[in-house]
Amino acid sequence: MNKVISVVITIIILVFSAAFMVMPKSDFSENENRSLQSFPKLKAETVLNGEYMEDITAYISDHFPMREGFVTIKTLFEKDVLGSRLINGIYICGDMYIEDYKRPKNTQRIIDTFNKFAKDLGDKKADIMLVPTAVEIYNDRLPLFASPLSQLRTMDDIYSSVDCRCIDDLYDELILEKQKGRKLFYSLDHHWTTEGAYVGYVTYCKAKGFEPLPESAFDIKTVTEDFKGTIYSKLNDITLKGEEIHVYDRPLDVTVLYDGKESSSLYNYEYLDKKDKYSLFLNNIHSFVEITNNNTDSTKTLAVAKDSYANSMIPFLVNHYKKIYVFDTRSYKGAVSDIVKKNNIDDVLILYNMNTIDTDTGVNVIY
Amino acid sequence: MLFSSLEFIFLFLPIVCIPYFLIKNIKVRNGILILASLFFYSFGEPKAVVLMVMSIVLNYGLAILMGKHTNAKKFLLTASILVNIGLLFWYKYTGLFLSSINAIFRLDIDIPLIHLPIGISFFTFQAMSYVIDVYRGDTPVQKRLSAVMLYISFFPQLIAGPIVKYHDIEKQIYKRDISFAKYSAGCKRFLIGLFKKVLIANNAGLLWESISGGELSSLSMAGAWLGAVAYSLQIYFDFSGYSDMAIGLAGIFGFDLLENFNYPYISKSIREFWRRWHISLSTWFKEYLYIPLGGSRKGNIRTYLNLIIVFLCTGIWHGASWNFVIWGMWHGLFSIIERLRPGKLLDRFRILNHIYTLAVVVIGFVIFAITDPSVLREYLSVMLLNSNHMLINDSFMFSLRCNAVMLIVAVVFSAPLYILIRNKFKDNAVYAAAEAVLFILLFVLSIAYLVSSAYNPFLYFRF
Repeated sequence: MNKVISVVITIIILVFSAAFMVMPKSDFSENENRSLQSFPKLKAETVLNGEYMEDITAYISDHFPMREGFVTIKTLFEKDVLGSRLINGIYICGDMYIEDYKRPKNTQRIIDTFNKFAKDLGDKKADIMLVPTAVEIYNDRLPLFASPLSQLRTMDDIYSSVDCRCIDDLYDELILEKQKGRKLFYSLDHHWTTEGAYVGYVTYCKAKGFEPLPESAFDIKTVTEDFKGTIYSKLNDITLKGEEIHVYDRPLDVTVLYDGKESSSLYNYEYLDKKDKYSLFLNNIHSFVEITNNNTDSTKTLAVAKDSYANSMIPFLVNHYKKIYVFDTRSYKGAVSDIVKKNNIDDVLILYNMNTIDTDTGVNVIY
Repeated sequence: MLFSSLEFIFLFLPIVCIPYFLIKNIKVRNGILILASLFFYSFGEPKAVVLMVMSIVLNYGLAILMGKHTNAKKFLLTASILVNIGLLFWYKYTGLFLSSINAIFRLDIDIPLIHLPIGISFFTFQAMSYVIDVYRGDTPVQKRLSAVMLYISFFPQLIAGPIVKYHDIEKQIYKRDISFAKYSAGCKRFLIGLFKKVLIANNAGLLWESISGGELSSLSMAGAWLGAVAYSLQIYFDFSGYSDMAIGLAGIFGFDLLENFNYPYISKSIREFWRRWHISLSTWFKEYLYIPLGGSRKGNIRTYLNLIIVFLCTGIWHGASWNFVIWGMWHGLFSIIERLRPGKLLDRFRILNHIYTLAVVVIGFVIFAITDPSVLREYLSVMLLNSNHMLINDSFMFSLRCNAVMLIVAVVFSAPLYILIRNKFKDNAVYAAAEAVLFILLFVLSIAYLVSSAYNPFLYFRF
């Protein structure tokens, strides 16, 4: 039988080697949302410092035949054979999938950055709203014995040290809504649902003293039933079905400049044909978005320094402002505080989610 | 390049094997293996490959001189050992040496950043084995540089052993059985090693990292022991798996290497443990250090001193950090205590022998694993009852729950169960078929793990 084993294994190896050699290579993995390694150019320098070999290694694993199928095999093996309930940083909670919260390392740096930003704003006081994520809100759904770190502790650390107005009752509001049985976070993506974003909007309005629009003011549409986001990608479990994305629609007359490109919509439905469907909100990530509501009595203006959680909440806020300036601090290279002062912007909102704030490269470049 | 990597299995191996098996001339075959080995080493160490080749040429030359000038043999041997140990010292221990000097004498000597070439501890030991064997007359001087080159640089054992002694392999260099049967047995052995490394060691390693990398202040006593057991399983399955892969690969090319591990965790004493753990290293020290020092033939005091020297060297060989010295001394201490045989209580209950040995080994591996002395102290205090820590907590239960299957499989296969089963069903066709199917499934699963480790979904768009 040794010979049978060795022959079969040899054949498998040769078939995959040959397939690797001849198969067409793609540049981008939609599932992982990243560029794949291209074949490195041979240079004396990179060979000598070992970079060339590292690139070759990455090239081989990035273009290995059926690599996504292999990821599926591993996930299903761990989930169904080993019975593991934490796979690739995702808790398996029945039909719900919740991303783990990793130990924060940069809390002090984040506080310092926010405080520097607050100082640069002068006497204008920014509002800060941090969004606890599914691991905190749905922690009663986690597998038995799972005990992730608390995001609330990190949130308290930040709230108690920043010189901003803290909208710190979002956690309570989200818990209240959850108890009504609402789905506030996607199961297969790391963002909040539009329902979750609506809770964020209501909480913000209450803190600022506006009357939020009731849900009945919107025409709630299901724009897709097949959204498989970043959590799905991490597991690549093909047995999972996609989920719905809702859009809270309301007739609006807006002019939106996405990095200078004009549009009349807060949504880009072309993303429904792609994998990353959440990007339909505010047309994915742009370093600077300027939204003008052409049909409002309000004269107030708002600047938002944010991550992608804000993309599904800003369409609600548009109803209350004449102009909203949106800065995605991960890619915006200018000084947000200068724009605020120059345009005499009334309100400033800092909005980040707790899941990615610690690793987010954007937070340290707001100034 | 690791054996357990896609590039090794799917590119390097076929590219080496195809010409190797097409050509029948043994010298050309050896040439292919030397080229493959130099490429293999330079893939990870593009600069240090020159160092390795120089070391090989030098030791080859010194041995040739030894054969010609028999009256200068001792001098040439000393020169070779000084050069080899000097190289090892310079690349591996300069940093530790200078920082210790700085700490002891309160000096501020600049510590140069010296890159440690992979496998230097292995190939310098093999080079010394060759020169010492020639000096002792155990083997004739090797006239062909290519033979010494192949012996030292042979990629299956180059970077993580087993440390092959020259007298064990000398005759195989030009005369060995290269056959389909050996190829098949080698493949199977390689697969066993691959499964041990990829399916068990890597996952045990993740468990150890998640426990030791978390906040120690919230660690429970049970959790600390779970971490220590996970690390002990990781290091055994990693290292013995790597040796299995090396022995399997060598077999594919027709070589027979000696075993490196023999189920160390079933040992009943620390002395037995060292006859079962990393055998090629302990026999190296035994043959080339302990016995030349006089072994156990010069009275008790000298024996203990020799043991201490050997365990000190064994400890520091594993890494340039003081915790490895402590680890070596820890094992040396129990070896000496066992020789003193204080009472025979343990002998009356076999199970107590096992518990004692495993406890020493597992605590030893915690010392081995944690290089930071203050972290080590804290971790050990959690293991050995610290009233500030809980006995058991949720995080322990969750780790146990998610890793139960892996841990059970690992513990079961730490004992010679597979050998027992195989011998019992040797001629059973159903068993043979089931084994073949299992091997193929586990191979696919191992590839799935290797591919997944390089699969990294990104939350955000590429910037």
